[in-house]
Amino acid sequence: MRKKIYFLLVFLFLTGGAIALSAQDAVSTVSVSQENISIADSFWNFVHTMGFANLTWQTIVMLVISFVLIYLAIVKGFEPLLLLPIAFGMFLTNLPGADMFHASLFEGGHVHWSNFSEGFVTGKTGLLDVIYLGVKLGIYPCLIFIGIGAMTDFGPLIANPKSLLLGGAAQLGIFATYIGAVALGFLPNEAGSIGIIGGADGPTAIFLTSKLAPHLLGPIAVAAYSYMALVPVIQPPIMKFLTTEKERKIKMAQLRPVSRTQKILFPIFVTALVSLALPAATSLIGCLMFGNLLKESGVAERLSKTVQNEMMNIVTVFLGTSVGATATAANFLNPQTLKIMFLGVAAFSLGTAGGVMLAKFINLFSKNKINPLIGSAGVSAVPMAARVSQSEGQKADPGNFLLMHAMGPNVAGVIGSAIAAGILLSMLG
Amino acid sequence: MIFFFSNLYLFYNFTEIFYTQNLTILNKSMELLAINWSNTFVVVGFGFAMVLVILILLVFLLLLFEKTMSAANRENKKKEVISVKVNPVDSISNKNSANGGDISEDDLAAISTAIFLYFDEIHDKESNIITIKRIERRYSPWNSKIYGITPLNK
Repeated sequence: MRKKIYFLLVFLFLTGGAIALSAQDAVSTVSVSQENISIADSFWNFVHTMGFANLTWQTIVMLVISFVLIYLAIVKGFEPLLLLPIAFGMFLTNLPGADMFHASLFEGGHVHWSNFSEGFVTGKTGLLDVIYLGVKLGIYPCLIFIGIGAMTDFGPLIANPKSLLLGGAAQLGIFATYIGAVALGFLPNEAGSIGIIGGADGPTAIFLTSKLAPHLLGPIAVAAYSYMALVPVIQPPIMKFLTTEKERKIKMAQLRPVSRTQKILFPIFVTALVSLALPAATSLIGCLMFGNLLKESGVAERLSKTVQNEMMNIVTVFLGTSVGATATAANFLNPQTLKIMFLGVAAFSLGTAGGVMLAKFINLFSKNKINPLIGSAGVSAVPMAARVSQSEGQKADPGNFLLMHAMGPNVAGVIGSAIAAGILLSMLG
Repeated sequence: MIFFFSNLYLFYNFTEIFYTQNLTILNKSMELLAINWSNTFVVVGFGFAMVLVILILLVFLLLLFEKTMSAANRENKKKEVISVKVNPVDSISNKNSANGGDISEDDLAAISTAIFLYFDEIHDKESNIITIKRIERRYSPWNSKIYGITPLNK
């Protein structure tokens, strides 16, 4: 069977070659209507436009990376809902000759609309170029935030307002990494985009990077989502290192019930307060809280369900593929990517440490002790980080249930990282 | 002689490597010095402080919420207590507790029967208006039942 296939392939190759040669020698020119078209030239032109003829080692490496990411998403289950579209977008954009995405249309950090519209006429504007507009104009991250808001229960945060401080302390990773990125030679706007990886919030990282350093969008998105998937691996050693056995066993009092009125008023007040203090964060916080209000109001159940499911899924597909499309060989295969990967893991680690350390600090003064393990949940990564706190707490004491307590800092982290993004955008944008 | 020249060559190479390395380190340190560190620390300090300040404001907002809500709840509970006092069932229980015991079995049976009869007879109070609402569904491929039926292969 294999021999037959080999024979067929060789036959096809030889036939193709023979046709090409004969076309070049014998039928050099054929007159069709008024123009002279060389069939041999046409054939060679066709051969030259084939992806195989344009493969370079860089594109091959990028294709291999995309396959690794697809493998990680499917086999290892690393954030598959996001990593799979990102990996496939990366795969599509690196197929030579497919012309799915043109980074030149977005050079210099803004959309070249004239080239864009020309591309529609000449057919040189790719599908992913059009889809990428949603990222470039900051639409997808905000739509995703509406969905996240509708899926989030702020009850544990309202019941224990101290959680907000833990969510704030975990943003230490963002700002500490900013210093590291500047020291490694990144420009301030690039450093801000790299630092936001520490927020462990994909849409926020994409939103800020698309505004501050769009050329780094590919590596930053891949780093952010990869590390978010690796939260159960990165966080536990840091949590164990910074806490004692006794601290890990601290049992927290049950959270008080939160009334519906409080849950309805919370998104309205938070939007008003944050937007008045920091207008640059309005688009993220406003969308997050709008989604939450749809859910908590109880009168827009259909809308709430739609933004949680259909809209969220559709936007995730667009966001993932278009972000993956930015990871071209030119953007991805350089020393900067390695630096971003290194800084990303540092940002995550510092954010985790910040939350745990503040919880320990609060315990010095507070009567009601906080289990420091919930501090690590301050790096958004909802609800993965809260689950890590729960599992680490149960390792120390199987009867300790920290999940609901950890959800407070976890959702506070989402608010905190959106605020941090707004601050960086207003200072560096 | 060969040994001397080879040593000389090695020495030359070493000095060149040493010089190049020093130059690289020097370049790196010059790069670090060239960074505007004061701006960097202003961004970091101010940025992180702003995050904390806004979150602290939110903490106060939530605490204010809590106080306002608990005060409102207390008032509601007071109102409930007042309305409960005029409830005949409670007056029975109060009377009984005043006698030093719980509600007697007879009282319980009477209350249960009353509740049973009340809920059992609810369905009798109907509007007596019986209508068949005609629901008209326009045909469309999206709602057509025929598309959802699997053909039966005999």
